Amino acid sequence: MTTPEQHDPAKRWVSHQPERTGPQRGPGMKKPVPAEGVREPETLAVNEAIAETVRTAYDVLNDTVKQGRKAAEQFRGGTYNVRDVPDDVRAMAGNLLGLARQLSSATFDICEALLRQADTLMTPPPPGSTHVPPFQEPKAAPATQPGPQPFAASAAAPVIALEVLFNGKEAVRAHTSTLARPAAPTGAAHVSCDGLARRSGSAAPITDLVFDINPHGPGLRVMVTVPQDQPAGVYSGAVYCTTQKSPLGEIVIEVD
Amino acid sequence: MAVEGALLQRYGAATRAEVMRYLAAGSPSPFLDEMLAEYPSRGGKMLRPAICLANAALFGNEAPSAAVQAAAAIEMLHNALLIHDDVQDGSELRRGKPTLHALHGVPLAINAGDALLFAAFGPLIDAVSPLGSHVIRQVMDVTAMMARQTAEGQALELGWRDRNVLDLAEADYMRMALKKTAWMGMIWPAQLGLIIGSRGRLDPEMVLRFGYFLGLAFQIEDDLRNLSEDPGYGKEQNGDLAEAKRTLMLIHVRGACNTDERARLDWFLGLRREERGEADVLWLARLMHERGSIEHGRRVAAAMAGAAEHEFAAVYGALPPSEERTFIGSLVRWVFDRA
Repeated sequence: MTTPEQHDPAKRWVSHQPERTGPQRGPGMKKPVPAEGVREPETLAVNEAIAETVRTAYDVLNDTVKQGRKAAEQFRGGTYNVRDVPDDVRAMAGNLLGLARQLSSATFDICEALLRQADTLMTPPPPGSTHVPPFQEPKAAPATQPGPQPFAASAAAPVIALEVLFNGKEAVRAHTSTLARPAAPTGAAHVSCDGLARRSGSAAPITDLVFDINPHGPGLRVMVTVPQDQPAGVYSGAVYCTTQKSPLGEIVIEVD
Repeated sequence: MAVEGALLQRYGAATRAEVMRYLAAGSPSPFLDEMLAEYPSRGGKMLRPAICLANAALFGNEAPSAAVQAAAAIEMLHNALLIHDDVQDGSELRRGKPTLHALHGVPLAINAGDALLFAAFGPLIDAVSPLGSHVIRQVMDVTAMMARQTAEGQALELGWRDRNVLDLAEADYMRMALKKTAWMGMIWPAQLGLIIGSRGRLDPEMVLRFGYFLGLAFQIEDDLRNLSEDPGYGKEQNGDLAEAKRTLMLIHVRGACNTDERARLDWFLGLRREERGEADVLWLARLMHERGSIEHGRRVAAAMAGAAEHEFAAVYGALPPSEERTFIGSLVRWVFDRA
C-alpha cells in the first residue's frame, strides 16, 4: 500500500449510517443535502460493516445485470430481431438463386433460338454481304390458359371445321361445315351467334345455340335447339368471336 | 511481480504486433496515422489483452489466432477511450508524456479517438467471422453491453462532478465503478476470451462477478493511491480531491464529519476547479484521515479483493493448474502490489 499512514491506527473504527444504501436511479442531479447537523456515528463491528459493503456490492451487480438483461430484451423485441438475420439471409439467397435460374433459363432459350436460326442458314452469306436472313417465326407456344382449348393455330388451314348438331325438331339440315379461323387463339366459350333468322317470311328466330370443342374431331361443334313448332324455311345468322370484330362466318340451316 | 511475468510479456508482445499491423494496413493519411499509433506506441501494461488471451486459453483455446485479434481490438478500443477520457478530464499527461490533445489540439485528438474506436472493429470482426453466427452474436452482445455500461459509468462520474451531486451512497460509487472501470477493463476482455476460446459454448456471464470485484478493488485502490505520496506515474497527489472526484473516501467522509466540516466540504465541492486552493485540498485530505475514510477505503478494497478471490475459486478453481490460471489469480494481488 502506498497511502501514507498519517492517522492513529489504534483509533476505533466507526462507520456512518448512510441516508441511502441503494444506488441513485435518476439522472444523478438531486439537490445537495443541506448541512443539518451530524448524525450520531453508529459503531459497528468491522466485519459486519465490511460484510454489509460486500452485500451491497453484490446487490449493485445483480441490479445492474438485471437492468442490462431488461434492456437487451427490449432491444430484441423491436421491429427487427437480429436473430432473424440467418433466416433472412437464407430467404434472400433463395430469391437470388431463383432469379439466377430464371436468367439462366432465358439465356438458354435465346441460345436455342439462335441455334435454330443458324440451322436455317443453308449457306453463310458471302463476305461483305449486307443481307441477313430474317429470324424464323417462332413456333406457337402450347396453350397455357385453363378451360376450353383454343383453336389450333396453323397458317396452312384458314378455316376450322364446324359440326352442327340439332336438338328438338328432327327435320332439320345444316348447310354449314366450316368457319373462318380467328386471327388470335380463341376458346370456344368466346364464340357466339345471336340467333338464326328466317331468310324469307316472318318467323321467330332460333336463338338457342351453344358452341363447344368437338370431342370427336377437329374444330368446333354447335348445338342448335329448334322448337317443334318452328316454321319451315332457311335460317341463317353470323358467328362472332370476342377476339375480333369481323365475323367468322355464317351458319345456315334448313327446317323442313 | 508474478503478474508481470513471462506470460504477460508474451501476450503483450503478440497484441502489440497485431495492433501495429492493423494500424499500418490503411492508406497513408496526414494528421491521423501518427496520432492513432501514439498511445499504443507508448507501451502500457497490456493487462486487458492479457486477460482476454488467458481466458481464451483456459476455456478451450479453440481459436488462438482469433483470440490475439480480439486482444488487439481490446487494446485499440482502450486507447481510443483514453484519448477521449483525456479530453474530457483535461488531462495533460498520459503514460509520462503529453496527452494527444495537448500535442495536437482537441479537434484532431477527438478525430483520432473516433478513428481508433472504429478501427478496433477491424480485428474484432476478423476474429469472430470464421467462428460462426452464434459466436458473432455473443461477441456483439457483450461488446454492445460493455459500450453501454462504460458510457453510463463515465456519464455518472462526470455528471456527479459537473452538477455537484452530493447525495451519494457507497452503492452509487460501486455502480459507477462497475460501469466505468470493471466492465471495460476486466469483464469484457474476460468475456471475449471465454467466448472465442470455447467457440461460444460457455456462458459469458461466468466471469462477470470475478471481473466486477476485481475492478472494484482496482478502482478503490487507484483512488487511495491518488491520496498518497506516490499517486502513480504522471499523477498529482490529491489530484482527485482538487477535481472533486466522487470517490468512496469522499462519500464516506461527508457522512462522518460534523456540521461545520460538512458545510465547508460542500462549499469546497461547489467551487470551480480553479477556485479550489491547496489549503482546502490539504484540509480535506487530513479530514479523510481523521474520520477514518482512508482506512475505510482500504478495508473495502480488501473486502472486494476477497470477494474477487472467492469468485475466482468458483469459476477458475476447477480448471487444471496452468500458467494462465495462475496469471488470472494473481491479478487480485496485483491490484495492490502494482507499480
